[in-house]
Amino acid sequence: MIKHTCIAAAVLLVAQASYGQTNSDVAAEMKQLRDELRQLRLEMQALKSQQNAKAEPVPAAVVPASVSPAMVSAVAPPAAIQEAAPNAVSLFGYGELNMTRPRHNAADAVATARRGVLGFGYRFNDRTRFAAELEIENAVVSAGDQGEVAFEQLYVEHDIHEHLSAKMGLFLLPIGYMNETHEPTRYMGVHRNLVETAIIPTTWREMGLGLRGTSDNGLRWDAGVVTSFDLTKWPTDSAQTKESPLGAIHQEGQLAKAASLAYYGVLNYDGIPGFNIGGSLFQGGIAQKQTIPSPNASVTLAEVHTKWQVGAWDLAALAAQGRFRDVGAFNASANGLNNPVPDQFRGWYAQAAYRLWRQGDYSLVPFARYERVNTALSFSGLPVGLTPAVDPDTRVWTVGANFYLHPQVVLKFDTQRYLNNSAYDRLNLGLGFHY
Amino acid sequence: MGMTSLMAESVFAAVFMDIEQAQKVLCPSADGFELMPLSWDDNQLATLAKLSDTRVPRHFNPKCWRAMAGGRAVGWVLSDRVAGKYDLIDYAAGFDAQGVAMGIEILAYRESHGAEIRQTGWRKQFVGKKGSAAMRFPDDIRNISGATLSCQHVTEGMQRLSAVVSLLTAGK
Repeated sequence: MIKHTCIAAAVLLVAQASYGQTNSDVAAEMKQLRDELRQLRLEMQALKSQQNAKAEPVPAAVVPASVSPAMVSAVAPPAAIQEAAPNAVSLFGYGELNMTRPRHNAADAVATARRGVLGFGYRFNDRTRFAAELEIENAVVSAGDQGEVAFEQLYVEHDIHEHLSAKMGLFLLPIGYMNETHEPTRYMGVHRNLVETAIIPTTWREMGLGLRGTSDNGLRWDAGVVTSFDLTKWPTDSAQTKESPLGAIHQEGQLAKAASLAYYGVLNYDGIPGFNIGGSLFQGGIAQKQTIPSPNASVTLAEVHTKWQVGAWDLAALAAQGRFRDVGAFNASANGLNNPVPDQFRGWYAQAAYRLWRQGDYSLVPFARYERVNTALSFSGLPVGLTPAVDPDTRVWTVGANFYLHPQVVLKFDTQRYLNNSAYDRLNLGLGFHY
Repeated sequence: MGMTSLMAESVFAAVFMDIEQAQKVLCPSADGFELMPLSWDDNQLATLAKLSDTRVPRHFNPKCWRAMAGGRAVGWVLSDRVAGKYDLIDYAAGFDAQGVAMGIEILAYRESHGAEIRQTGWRKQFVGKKGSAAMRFPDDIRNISGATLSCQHVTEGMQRLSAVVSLLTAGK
């Protein structure tokens, strides 16, 4: 009946339109009417399918007597209430720029556009999507510069069912807090914390398959099979390995040796709003079936973390311990003698942040963090007398504030004091944003 | 009602729950739901922004149903869409006749990152809260670590819906 009424109305309109008009005017209006009719037909089909799916038909628009059109007007024109279909393409990313000035050596002050990340995704359907993050570090990438371009992530994700999804490709491991959530607006301080840089090599990505399961009671688990580290990349110079043992031998999906795989498992509990506790275990072979003195070398990394947001407080703590196994023979070789692989490395931090002030989008959040890290705790396989002395734990206080211009834009200031080596003491300034 | 919106709904079907299921869960005492298309001009959007203390998206366009029981209005169900980290989140919220939030259900979530907002414990935080001022993030509605953007954006969405309901109940 609706259809007949529409057609009749269209015919009437055509008749009226043709009176006193040129043929081209009439043709234009005919085209417009045809388009409108086509649109109406599509809409009626959608309405019909909607009605068929319901036991009762959707009532016509109802205007409650108490609602005044002054604020909320019912029976809006279709254009006004048209809902935009979700865009299949999404763009996102973040940037961080900072300046660091050593407290006792102003000549070494450095400012850099530390990271610019462009993320993009595409949704194939409601269950399958792709996401990527392309990162440029330190502004310029060329033969004569220290910049770097890298895919931080490049993966396809598929929802197997409501509470289980799978990731395939190059993705960030869900270990610790910062590895997956490292946008500058999401952490305190200008630089990423030391533990989740030196012990957990943020941003740590591997290629492989990962599963994530969630439950309504707040449990979230992750498990996966991924590429591992490559012991043959272990440098003879200790500068890099002291900074981050795993960071020195990561492969990052670049022609990664895949003869030795790794496995990880993660469990988190988020059932109490504002509270999180979790832990993870990563274990992988690192010899990659290469002809090296330690063909069965492996690494294990265990980590626990907790976060509690109560009132204006945001409290967090994390501890991680890594262990290299079967590296004695490698250490006894020429490479190992120059820079032996440690048996253990570990670190922990505790952090307290307090939202001191907030007005609209602005907020000021001072914080303090204490960290203790040691990237080489003990060694094995070395001849007597050649075992290097174990350095004391690096102990760092970081105190500063994040000033948010908007929840997605932050100005940062902090000072870092290295308790056992004041030469590293520094002041940091930063700007960060995400979108 | 805008028929185009129905088309959009049918194309992008709810992944976890459709709106009919959500209506029954959010307002179980109702025996029917009457659709109420809503619209507003720029000035009215500005008023909503002030009431909700959020930035109202230009195309803010929630769907609204009045929940009926025995011919009497017993509440409201509204559905809307907000951005998560990478993609959009569809959700619906129920309010009683006085504008008190009775619950929130996630209809569709299109990324695994931040999907923890579907957890009962997080969604329960909204229950019993009236007005957007009682739903501030992260003071009144706590965060889930690793799902901050989803938590924040859904909370802001709920503040907007709460502001709409406060206008509906006040008859302004």
